[in-house]
Amino acid sequence: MSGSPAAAWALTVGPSHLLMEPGHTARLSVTDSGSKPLTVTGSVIRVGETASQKCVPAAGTVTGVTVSPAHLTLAPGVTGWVTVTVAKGAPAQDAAAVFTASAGQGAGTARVSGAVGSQVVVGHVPGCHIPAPVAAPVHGGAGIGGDAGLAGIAAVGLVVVVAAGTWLRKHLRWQA
Amino acid sequence: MKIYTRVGLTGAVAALALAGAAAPAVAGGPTGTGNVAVNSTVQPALYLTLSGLTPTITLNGQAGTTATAPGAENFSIATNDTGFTLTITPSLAGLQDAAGDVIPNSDLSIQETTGVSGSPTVGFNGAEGLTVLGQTGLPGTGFTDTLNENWALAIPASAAPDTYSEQFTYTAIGS
Repeated sequence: MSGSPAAAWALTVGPSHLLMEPGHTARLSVTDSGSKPLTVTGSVIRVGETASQKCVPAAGTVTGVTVSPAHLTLAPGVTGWVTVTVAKGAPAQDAAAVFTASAGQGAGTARVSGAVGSQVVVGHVPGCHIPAPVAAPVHGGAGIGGDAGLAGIAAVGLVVVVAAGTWLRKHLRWQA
Repeated sequence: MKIYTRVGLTGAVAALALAGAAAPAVAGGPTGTGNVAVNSTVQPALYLTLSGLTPTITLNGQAGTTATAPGAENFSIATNDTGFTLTITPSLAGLQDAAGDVIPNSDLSIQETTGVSGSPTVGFNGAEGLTVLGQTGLPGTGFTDTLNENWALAIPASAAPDTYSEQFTYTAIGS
């Protein structure tokens, strides 16, 4: 995110955490911020606490949270968009949508992959550190209606302005 | 009366125009299957970037000695969120060779020489993830951690001479 030259391998996710409710969907961006193409795999993992750390990958399954598409092929500088869906009836849980890509080929004792994850908090405020709800691009089941409602309010406002202007022009003309 | 009729038509046209303008934003989300990739010019409000990972780490040594790889990894985590964790997760419980021989992950250790207070040396426990860094209370305006790691493997005296390897995943999660 700085002006320095891009590393060979770099992966960005945004937003980096989401607060969601059952029945909601949200959109995440996954960007190849490095200088070589990446094959990215998306998955959902459980997030929990250990004795010393919060919000770390944990054992256990995640129920009713999915990412789609699960695979992206990204060229350097390109962003892919992934939809996170929380099913209706999904339980309250702490999860993370994680996007993983190999750091490269080669022989070695340790072969390294890197992953970036957006914490997905479903239905409650977790033990993890989230100070306040954020403006995540969450669209609920009523999202279309909500947006249409905003458009309607704007339209009504415009109608009022046009009507007032027209009435004033007519009225002033009559007075002249 | 004519005035209000005319205004009503104008308003209806305006409402339709606004509804039409709003519709693409609502329907624009990618909900299909398969790859969806577009050129991006807008940064997300909150981001987390992991960068600079070295693809492979090589530890060479004789049985009964400790193989080291100073500066094996040098990478960065950047975010404008208020926290994140970094966990290194092995794919197996140990390094394996082609014959199925295993050097347990507990013989493998990592020292964060920069980026973590105290430069601790930590070891793996089976296939469990190793959380090497947890940041909370960050300013939320942009923050970068740069970590430099030494890797070391205490090769058991009983280990058969061969090439052992394993996959490790560095996972950074925003919070």
